[in-house]
Amino acid sequence: MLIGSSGGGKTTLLKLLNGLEKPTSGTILIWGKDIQTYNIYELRRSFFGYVFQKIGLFPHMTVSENIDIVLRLNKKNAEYRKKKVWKLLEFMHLDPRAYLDRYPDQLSGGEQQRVGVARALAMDSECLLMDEPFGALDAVTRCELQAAILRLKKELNKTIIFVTHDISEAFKLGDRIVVMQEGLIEQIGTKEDLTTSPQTSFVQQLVNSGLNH
Amino acid sequence: MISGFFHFLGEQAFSLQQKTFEHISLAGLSVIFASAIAIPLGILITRFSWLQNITLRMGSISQTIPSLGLLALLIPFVGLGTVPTLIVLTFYAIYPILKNTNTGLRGVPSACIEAANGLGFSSFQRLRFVELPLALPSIISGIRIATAMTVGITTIAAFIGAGGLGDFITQGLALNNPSLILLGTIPAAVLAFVLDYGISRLEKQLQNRELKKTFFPQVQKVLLISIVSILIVLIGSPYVKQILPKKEDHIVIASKNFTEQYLLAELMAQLIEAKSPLKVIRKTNLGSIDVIHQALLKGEVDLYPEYTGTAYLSILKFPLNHGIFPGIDEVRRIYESKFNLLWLKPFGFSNGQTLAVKKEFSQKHNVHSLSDLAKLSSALTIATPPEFLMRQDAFPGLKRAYGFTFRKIIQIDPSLLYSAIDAHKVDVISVNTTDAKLEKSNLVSLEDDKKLYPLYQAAPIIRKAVLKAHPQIYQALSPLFGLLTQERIARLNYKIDVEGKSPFDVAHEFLCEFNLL
Repeated sequence: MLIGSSGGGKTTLLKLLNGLEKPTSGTILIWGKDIQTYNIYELRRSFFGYVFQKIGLFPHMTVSENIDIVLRLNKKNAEYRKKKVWKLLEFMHLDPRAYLDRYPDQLSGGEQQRVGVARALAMDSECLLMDEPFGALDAVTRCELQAAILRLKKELNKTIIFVTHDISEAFKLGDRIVVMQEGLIEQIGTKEDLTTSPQTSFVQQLVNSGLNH
Repeated sequence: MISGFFHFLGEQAFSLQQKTFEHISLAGLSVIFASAIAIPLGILITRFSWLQNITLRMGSISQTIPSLGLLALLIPFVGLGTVPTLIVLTFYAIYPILKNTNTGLRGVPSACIEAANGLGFSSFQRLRFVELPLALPSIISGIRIATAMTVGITTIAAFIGAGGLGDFITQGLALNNPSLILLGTIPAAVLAFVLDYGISRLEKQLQNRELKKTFFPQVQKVLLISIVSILIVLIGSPYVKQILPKKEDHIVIASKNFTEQYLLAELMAQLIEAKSPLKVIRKTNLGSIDVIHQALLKGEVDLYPEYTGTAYLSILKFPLNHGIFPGIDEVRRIYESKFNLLWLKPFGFSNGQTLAVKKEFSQKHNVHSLSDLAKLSSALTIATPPEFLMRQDAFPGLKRAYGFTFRKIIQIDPSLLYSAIDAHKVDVISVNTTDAKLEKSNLVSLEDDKKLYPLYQAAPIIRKAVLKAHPQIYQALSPLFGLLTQERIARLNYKIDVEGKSPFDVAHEFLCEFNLL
């Protein structure tokens, strides 16, 4: 869980991981190797799945094509792709029979982001990057999708790096929470660590607002 | 009137079909070439923003260059006919497609670009699967605009012998024949409209999601096959037309675009067709002496009628001076040694340029020569075509020699000269001495008493190599030499210009009258 006020460097951190931004200093290691030594496209396609704040479904493609395109770029065969898309939609609680051939503009915001998550899961990647994925959704929809994330965590057992500015969301979903402000990490810890021993006044403030909520 | 037009349409049906085909070929090929250049270029400039501004600005400036000017600039390098026309048309079609490709690509939502990047699309994959499909409606609408525009501009092809519907328009203008002008403009307008409508339908179909599932894969196939086959036919056809006849013996006869030239070319063509086994290809619509001369040197034209005075001043670039012009023999000698072109014997008449006034005016003020006119000129209004006004051997030369000081000079289109003096809007007009309308409008052409001008004797010019290969051409043409007196040529011009007959019919009638066919 990455949390902090806006402009605090959360999204930049995700982009650094995914190679969309280059570090000005320091190195990022994956399996002990510098990220720059990997093929960046391979890394993005099969090591990371990415869920975007603005969802970013391709408007000219159907739901199935939106998920399928990621598999196609990785040269999976047609039969495998078809099955996989079906399974992913079922997993995200979208009935494939009803949704496969719909277009993004025929879906609600919550349904769109379910497809967005399904797309990120398509390559069974090691790690999911989620950049404020529910920021634009209403409270009820957000709650449903948070439940989906908890289920995903339990069933797929993946590393998820999740950016949010909502401390209650962080408490609800996160195992370890990183508090960031102005590009610096203020504290790393579990919900208990943060509530019982906040190390800076910023963390204290954040925790209080979360508990009052 | 209407039924007359339909009768005329019936007569022209075959040539209408042929010209329309040429028109579509030229416009279609140009738009295909332009797309092949503009779409990749549009992609490139969208990637590099510094290129974008400068390219788009240059593109929009390119649209303001007059197409005829560009065409004229190209002739020395690529000659006449299809190639320069395609270059010019392609040039103009690039900008709308380029602009719309750029607009379409820039309109792709940033969320989609971000998503494609984040999901590991390579730059090419992003273009192929995300950016191009989303920009496609805009690109197609660019192609639609370019197509409609190109169908319009393709009419200029007529000026350099590439054919198309513009042939009717230029001939109609030159022969003062409204039916011919309509025969060119109406199909061109209909064509532009139909293509515009067709492509806009295609644009809509592309947005249609129901069709996309069921119908689209087939449409794509059909579209691809038809584009490929159109390309094959289009690329093939100019060759079929130009290369195949070359295997058999043929001769290309050209003319400039005014009545007397059409007639002379037609007379020569019909004689050669009748008296020799040669096949004649007519390119009887070329703009000016410079265009035809370049074409002769390149071997694209074999034979055409020219005037000694024009050749002397415009090609050999001798200065205008008083009275001491060499005759046809001198012009012939220089042409042969310099260009390998032969002047055959003169037709018999000479067609000079001069000024003309109404007969009543001439009698009332006792004006018979240019010197007489000069004395009265400060009270008179003159109308001339722009070319006559600017050419050093025309109005400026006259002015220097005779000291004209006209009250007012009006620049108008050649086809309107006679109407202007008929309506008493002007007192003097510039004319050719063989103009048919001189007689009809009751005009007198004034004598060049200071001998400013050389003789404008009309005679055929032929490429030496062609005459050597086909000496029978000389025999075929020889009955014409000396036959066309001043009176006869004026009468023939009159039949075309005033009675509205076609040059073909008038030439045929004349040749039959003298038992030459």
